[in-house]
Amino acid sequence: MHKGYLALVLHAHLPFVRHPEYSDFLEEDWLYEAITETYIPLLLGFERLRNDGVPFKITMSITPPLLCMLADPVLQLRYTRRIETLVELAEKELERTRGDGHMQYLARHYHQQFCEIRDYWRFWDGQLINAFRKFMQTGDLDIITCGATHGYLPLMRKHPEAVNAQIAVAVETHQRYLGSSPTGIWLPECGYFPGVDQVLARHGIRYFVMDAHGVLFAHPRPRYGNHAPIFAAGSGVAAFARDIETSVQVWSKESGYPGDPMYREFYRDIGYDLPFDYIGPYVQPDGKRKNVGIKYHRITGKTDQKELYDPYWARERAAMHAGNFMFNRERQIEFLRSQMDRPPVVLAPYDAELFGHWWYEGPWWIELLCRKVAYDQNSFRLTHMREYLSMHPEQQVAIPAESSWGASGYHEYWLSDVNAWIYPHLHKAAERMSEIARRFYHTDYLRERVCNQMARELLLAQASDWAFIMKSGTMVEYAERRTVNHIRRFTKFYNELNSGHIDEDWLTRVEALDNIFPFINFRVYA
Amino acid sequence: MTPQELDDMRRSDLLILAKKIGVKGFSRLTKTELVQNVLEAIEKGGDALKKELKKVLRQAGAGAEPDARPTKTAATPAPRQRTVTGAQAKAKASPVPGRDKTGGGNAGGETPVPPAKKSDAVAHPRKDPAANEPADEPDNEAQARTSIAAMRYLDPPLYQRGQLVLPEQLRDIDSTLPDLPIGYGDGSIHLMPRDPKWMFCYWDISEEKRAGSGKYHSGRLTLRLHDVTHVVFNGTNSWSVHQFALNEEARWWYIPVPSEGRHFMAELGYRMPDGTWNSLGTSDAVIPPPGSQSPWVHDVFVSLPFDQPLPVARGESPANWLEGTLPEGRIPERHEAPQPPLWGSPVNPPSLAPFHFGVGANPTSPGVSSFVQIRNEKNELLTEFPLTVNAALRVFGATSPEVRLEIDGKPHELASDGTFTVAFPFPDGSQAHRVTARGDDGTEKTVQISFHRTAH
Repeated sequence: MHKGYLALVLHAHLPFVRHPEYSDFLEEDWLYEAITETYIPLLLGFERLRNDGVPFKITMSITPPLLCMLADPVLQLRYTRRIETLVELAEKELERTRGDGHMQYLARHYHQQFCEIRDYWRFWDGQLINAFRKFMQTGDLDIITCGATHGYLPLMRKHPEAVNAQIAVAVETHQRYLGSSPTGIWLPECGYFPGVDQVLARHGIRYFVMDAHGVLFAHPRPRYGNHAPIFAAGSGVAAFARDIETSVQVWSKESGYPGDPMYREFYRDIGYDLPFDYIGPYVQPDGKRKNVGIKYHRITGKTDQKELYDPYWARERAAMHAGNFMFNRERQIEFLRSQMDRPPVVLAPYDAELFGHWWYEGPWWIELLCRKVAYDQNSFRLTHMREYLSMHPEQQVAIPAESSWGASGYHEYWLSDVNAWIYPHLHKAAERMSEIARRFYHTDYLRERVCNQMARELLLAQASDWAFIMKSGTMVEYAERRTVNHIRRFTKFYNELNSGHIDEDWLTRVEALDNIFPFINFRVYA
Repeated sequence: MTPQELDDMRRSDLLILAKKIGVKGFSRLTKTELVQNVLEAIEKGGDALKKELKKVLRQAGAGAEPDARPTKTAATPAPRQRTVTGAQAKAKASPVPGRDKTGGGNAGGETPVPPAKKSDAVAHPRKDPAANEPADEPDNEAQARTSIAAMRYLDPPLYQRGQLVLPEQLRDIDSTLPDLPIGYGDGSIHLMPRDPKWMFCYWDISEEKRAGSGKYHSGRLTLRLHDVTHVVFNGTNSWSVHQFALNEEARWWYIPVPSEGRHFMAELGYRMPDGTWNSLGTSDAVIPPPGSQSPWVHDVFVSLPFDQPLPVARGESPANWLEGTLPEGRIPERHEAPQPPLWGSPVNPPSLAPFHFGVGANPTSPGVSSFVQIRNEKNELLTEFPLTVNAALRVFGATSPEVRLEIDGKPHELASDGTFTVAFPFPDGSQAHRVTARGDDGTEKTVQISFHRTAH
């Protein structure tokens, strides 16, 4: 008899990085790397589980900008080019490493893996969303939504229309690309403020994920702590809290699994290690080196001396870690069950891109964990939040605490010395957008196009990724440029509407560039 | 003549076609670019050209095998990609990519530009085919990029509302846009909680408004933080005020949060040398996030079947759905519990009835039963009763009704019978208050009272 549940939640998100204006753009690599290293390896794992008849349940949030990018023909074609090139490089590596036993073994490993990924991509004809849909329809995956562009809602609350638009556009994107309304949401950066749950409820969303203290500090104090959801008092939407123990085991740099010496070293890539005349065609076109995705070393230790990687032993280690994780959950859930009068739910949310991209063995770990949970124990089973709520409709009512899962737990990461300057502009743009939406509610076709594009520009500028990157300190120029340029475009449209002179040619070009949410209706801001 | 048809032609046939209809510089174009340029020329050319075209096509034998390996394609990515790099490198210096480009639609950058097509140059300045010309100078990196895969999947032509958009045309979109303004001068003051300990306030006040409010009369720009819990703020009725003197140039300020769970409002203004206050405006009231567990333990469970929509989604007001479950249909605010609001709400001035302290002692405190549940570190229920002690300070008195009364320098209105009463929070520590009464004839009486509170 099961004593409780484990709910794995993977948050898949990338900002909208589509740059048709250049045939090769470094930031687009974020998408291509995520597809090669995370999304397809996860899907392949799900396929194997399904084929073997292993029951599993996982929640995934796929954010609207990611859906739009996965559905974009330009990016699909570019990814096709990318994966074909990668297979080609892997073939060259087979040739180059001939004669060196271990290296040849590794080259074969990569060649096989990239071929498998390419074949899967071809199988779905580049429509990866359909692959996710397949697992959604079987009930294995519960796919939830997120803010339309991952806008950080607590710092947007002065303009309820802007908060509402982030949710409304997200729900519509989800419906259009995944074919059904989302019942849950990953609030961007888990940023919650009291009142946002009412917006969620109005859009049919029933549950969301919070960081641990969002529920622990709820008011009144939740009886079951982080191991049962609470119904937000303003709306009845359920708030699930991240379990602290599980997040430390996977996230922590020191004590977490991904730092194991057997695992693959992220920072030793042949894009940097091999001579330029060999690797040149596969790095940046200006000759700057970059990660190409083939890495031959394992973490080994803290020094720069790195041993060669061995996927066989790494996989064994992933199996061991999956076993360890499962054992810990068994003990945790058995203990919790003895304290609670209902089955506890342990929620383990992670960034999807952690698995595969940062932690190469992550997708194996997830697959092995699902297998072990299904066959090696009886204490708990996997669930997703939707299933849990269907089975346990009675929960405590409380007001969740304003919080986020960012560093220090509140809004500091997105509101600090390096990025606070964006908010006066974002707030002004949100205010103007509502004004425009009301003034031009009934208008002609050209102005409607302008208004719709303004909504896109505002949403793109609001992406929390830009403030996050400014704070984290890498690729800062890109993030600043994106924020500034979306607002400048927005402002030009605003002035054009006011002056009555609209540059249609320029509008067409901006539409071609920022083509996220093709179906958007700006009246959502009215 | 659709793009698809053109696409299906051999490059050599396209070249013939391009020559026929007068595309300049065609021999150096790649196939994709040829298609684009031919399409544009056809657009221009009208019916006569279309007839001519059909002839050419018949000769060329349309629908031939697509050109599997265009000779020039291998070199094509290079100049374009070099432009990327240029822009990326520049982006480090300036926030706008491609800003210092030669202007127009010419993003070919360093490429020497042959004379552009006559017809296009005027009517469509941004459709400059010359922009697509590959660089003539030998390019080793480009030679190195001979990956078969890279050649096979060139970007498809980009259409927006039936209009062909060249990548080059998207690069200079922002080049003519003005920089973001420093401010909008709309007079807004915006207070945002950052975490339990800090709030962030920014403002956008126009120079005119500043000048009109005493900037040039030795006024000192000052930020005030008001505790407006349950107050409809009228400028003077906040529970407490914290004051921060600012530099004139300051545009935002981090403010420490004085106490948890209360409502705060920021007010910006000029404090004049004579003590008067010229307000520039106030922000909305905000509640900083809680930084600790709620002291309140009160288990209310409800059942919300997942297959039925939420009451709020059905249009019921958020306040109503808990009715019948909670005594007042809502959960009292955190700061109301476990102690009830000490001063009532200011719309109902404090009565002279004795104060009640502790949990559940006040009948107006909703939802608190006489028993509360508290857990120890081991999560075991404790049955012992809790004790919380709080204090409020009430200052009251009476004088003649016609006298003007000031409490701590702020005017205070007397009741019609000349009595007055005012309440202050009373945390641990010392505080002093000065009550001054001024008669019409200028006589003045002052009483100073001070208090000290400690708890053991």
